Amino acid sequence: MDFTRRHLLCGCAATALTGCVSQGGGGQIRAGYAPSLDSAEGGLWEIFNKAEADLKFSPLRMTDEELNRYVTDIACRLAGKHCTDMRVYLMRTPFFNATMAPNGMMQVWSGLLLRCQNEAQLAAVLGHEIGHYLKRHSLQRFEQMRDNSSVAAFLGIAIAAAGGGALANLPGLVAIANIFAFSREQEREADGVGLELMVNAGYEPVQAAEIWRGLIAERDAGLTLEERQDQKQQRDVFFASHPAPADRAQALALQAAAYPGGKRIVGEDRYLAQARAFRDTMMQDELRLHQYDRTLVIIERMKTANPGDADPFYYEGEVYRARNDGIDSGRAMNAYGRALELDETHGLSWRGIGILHRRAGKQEKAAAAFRQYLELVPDAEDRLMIQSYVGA
Amino acid sequence: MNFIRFVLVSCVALVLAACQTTGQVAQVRPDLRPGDTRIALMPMELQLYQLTAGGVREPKAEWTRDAEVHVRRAINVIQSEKQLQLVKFDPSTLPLERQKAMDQLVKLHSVVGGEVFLQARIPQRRPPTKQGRFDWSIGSEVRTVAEATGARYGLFIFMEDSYSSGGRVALGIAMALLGVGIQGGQQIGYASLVDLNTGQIAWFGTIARGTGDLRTEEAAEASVRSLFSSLPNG
Amino acid sequence: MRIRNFLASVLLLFSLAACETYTAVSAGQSVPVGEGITVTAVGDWAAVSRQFVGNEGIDAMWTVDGPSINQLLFFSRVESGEPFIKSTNQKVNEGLPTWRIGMTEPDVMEMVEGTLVKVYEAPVVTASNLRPQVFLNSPGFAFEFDMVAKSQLETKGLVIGTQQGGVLRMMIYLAPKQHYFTLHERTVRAIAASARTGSS
Repeated sequence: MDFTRRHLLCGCAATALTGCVSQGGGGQIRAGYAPSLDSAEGGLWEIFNKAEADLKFSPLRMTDEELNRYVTDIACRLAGKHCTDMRVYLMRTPFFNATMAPNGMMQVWSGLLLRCQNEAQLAAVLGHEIGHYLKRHSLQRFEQMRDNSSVAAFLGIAIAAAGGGALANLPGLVAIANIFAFSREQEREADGVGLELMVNAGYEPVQAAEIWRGLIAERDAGLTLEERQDQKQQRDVFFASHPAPADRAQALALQAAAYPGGKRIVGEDRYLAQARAFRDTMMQDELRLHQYDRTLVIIERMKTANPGDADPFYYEGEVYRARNDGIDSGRAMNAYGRALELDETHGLSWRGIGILHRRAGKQEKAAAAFRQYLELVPDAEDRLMIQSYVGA
Repeated sequence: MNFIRFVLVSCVALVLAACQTTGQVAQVRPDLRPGDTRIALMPMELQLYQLTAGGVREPKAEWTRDAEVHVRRAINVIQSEKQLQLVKFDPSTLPLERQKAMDQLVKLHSVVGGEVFLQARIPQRRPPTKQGRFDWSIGSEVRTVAEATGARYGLFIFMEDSYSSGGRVALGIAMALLGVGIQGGQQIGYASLVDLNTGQIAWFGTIARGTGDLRTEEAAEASVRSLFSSLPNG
Repeated sequence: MRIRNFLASVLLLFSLAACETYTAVSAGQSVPVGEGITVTAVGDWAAVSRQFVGNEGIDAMWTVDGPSINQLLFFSRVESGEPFIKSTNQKVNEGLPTWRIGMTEPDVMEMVEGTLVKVYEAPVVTASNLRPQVFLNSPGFAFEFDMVAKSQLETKGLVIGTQQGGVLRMMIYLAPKQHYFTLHERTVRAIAASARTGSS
C-alpha cells in the first residue's frame, strides 16, 4: 500500500468520522432542528460551528458560484425539507471524500468530483451522507462513547477531519477510525436511505453501485492478484469502517434492482459539463500525487465517457512522462500523439513532446515541439524557460 | 524543526518558567490615552484540554465555552480598570474577499504570536537576529481593521489551558509520594497589541504556569489580569 | 524532594545543552551551506542547528524571524534517484518523487511540487513562472510556488537551483504569503547570487 493509497482510504475514514458525529439520538431528525446549547449535542454542534467558521474562508475552498449552486441543488433535491439545514462546501483537496458534520456542514472534496462520472453517482455519495444525518447515527455512537474518556480525542480528530486539508493527523485518524467507525449495520442503513433519497429525487439507483466499483478498480490498479488479496486481508481503515466495497457494491446493485424500472436521471452530460471547467485543475492536483496506476484508471474512464476528447490522452502522457520507467517515454510520446490527432491545437501535448525529446538529447525536434507549444499557449507559466530552450 | 526535541526543550523551559507567573519582553510602549484610544478586539483563540492518564490532551468543548465567557468578562473588568476603549471587530460586515483576507490575517498573527511567545519564554529559542530590539510585524493588511473600526490598535488573545483527568491526578499523587514531580496541567497564553497603521506589535504579554483555571470565573480573572499586568494604563 | 531537585537539575542541564539552537550569520559573512557551496549572507540571518532541522536532506536551514515563520533551505548535493527531502514521518516518504539525471527544468519543477505535497502534507502546491537563472555560475532555473500549509495559512516559496556535475543543487525560501515572503525576498535573491562552488 503506497502513501497515496492510504490517503484515499483515510479520506473515507474521515467520512466515517465526521459522519459519526452527525446529529443523532433516537429516530429520524426533524427539519429545522437545532439542539439546546447546554446539551451534549449542543456542545458537539458548537465545535463544528467553529470548524465551519474556519472552513468558510479556507484558501482551499472552491468558490465558483455556478459549481457551488449545482452541487448544493443536488444535495437539496435529495434532502427535501432538510435542505435549509445544510450547507455545502466544495474543497480543493484531491482525495475521494465527502463528509457531513452534525451542524449541517457538508464537505465535498475535489477528488470526489473528479471521480464521479455522472450526476447520479455524486447524488449517491451525498445521499449516503445525508442518510447518516437523517438516521441520527452519530448521536447513538456518541452516546455510547460518552463515558469513555476517548470521546474528546475522537472529537479532536473529527475536528481535524473537518478542517479541509485534514492530512495532518493521518496515523491518528487511522487508529481512531477503527474504534469509532459506524457499525456496518449503520453503513448499510445509510446506503439504504441514500438509495431511497436518490430514487425519490428521480436518480438512477444503479449508479450507487458503480461509484464503489470505480473505487475498487482504482484500489486494485497496478497490483498483482496476490497483492490484491493482501490488500483485502489488511484490515485497514476502509474495511474497518465500511462494509467491504465489493459486498457493498453488490448489495447496492441488488437493492437498486428492487426499485421499479422507468426513466431515471443519470445526468452524465450535465455533470461532465459542470465539472469540465474544473477538470484540468483537479487533474493537475491528482497528477501531483504521483499515484500513477490510480490516475490511469481515472483517465481510462474519461476516455470512455468521451472518445473524441484529447485531454485524457494528454493526461496519460503526463502520467508516463512523470513515471519515466522503462518504456514510459515511448508510451508518453504515443499518448501525446493521440491527443494531437484528436486536437491539433493541444499545446500542452506539444510541451510534453518537447520535454521528452529534450531528455533524449534530440534538441532540434524538441525545439520544434516547444515552438508549437509557445505559439498555442502564449501565456504559459514556463514561457521564459521554454524560450531559452528554443533559443528565440 | 525536530518537533519532539523542540517540545522537550519547550517543556523544560516551561518547567523553569513555572515559578514565575508572567513574562514580558522589551518593547515599544504603546501610545494609550485614557478612554481615548480605540482598541479592536480580534477573534480570540481559546482552547481547554483534559490531560488523560496517558498524557494525551483531549479538547473539551464545554470547558472552552465556559472559559470564553469568563475571559470576556475578565477583559471587561481590565478594560474599565485600565481605562481602555475596546470595540468589537466584526469581519462579517466586510465584502467576502476582505473577509478572506482577515481570516488569513488572524492565521498569520497566530503563527507570529506563537513564535514571539516561544522566543519570549525560552531564551534558547530566540535567534540572534531577534536579540535586542523587539521588532515584530504582521504587515499592512491590518489597516482594513482600522478602517472598519476606527481603532488605533488591534488586540489578539490566545489562551490554552489543560487539566488533569482523575487518572492523571492519581498518577501525580503516586509519583509525588515517590518524590517525583509530574506536571498536572499547563496554562499558557499571550495577548498582543498590534498597531493598526503599521502592523507592528506594540505590546506583547505572556503567561505560562502550572496553576490557574479558566473554568471558574475568579481564577480566569486572575489569569487575564496576570496576562495584562505589564500593559500600561490607558 | 531531593530526587525532584536532582531531576530539575538534570532537566536544566539538558536545556542548557540544547542552548545552541542557532548560530548567528551576520551580513557579509561567507558561510558554507552543505557540500561544496558557500554563500555570503545579505542581511542578518540565524542558522538553525543540525539537530533542530528535522526533515532529512536539508544541508542548512537559515531563518530571520524563526523557523515557524521563514526558512531558507539549502540542498547542496541531491544524487540521481534520490528524493531531495524526506519527512521525519516515514509514512509520508513512501513513493516520494526522485530527482534524476537528464531531467529538464519543467521536470524538476514538477518533482519539487510533488515532493512538497507529500512532505509538507499540503493538499495543493502550485508552481509558477519557471525561468532560467544562473546559479553557482551555471545555467539554472528559478520558480515560485504557492502552498496552503496545514494551518490553512497561505505560504509562498521561491526555488533557485541548477543541475550540474551529475547532482541537483538548490535553495528554497518559504514564508507566509502575507507580509513575510516579500519582506526577505530581495535578500534571498542576493544570497542566491552570492553562491559559489567550493568551501571558503
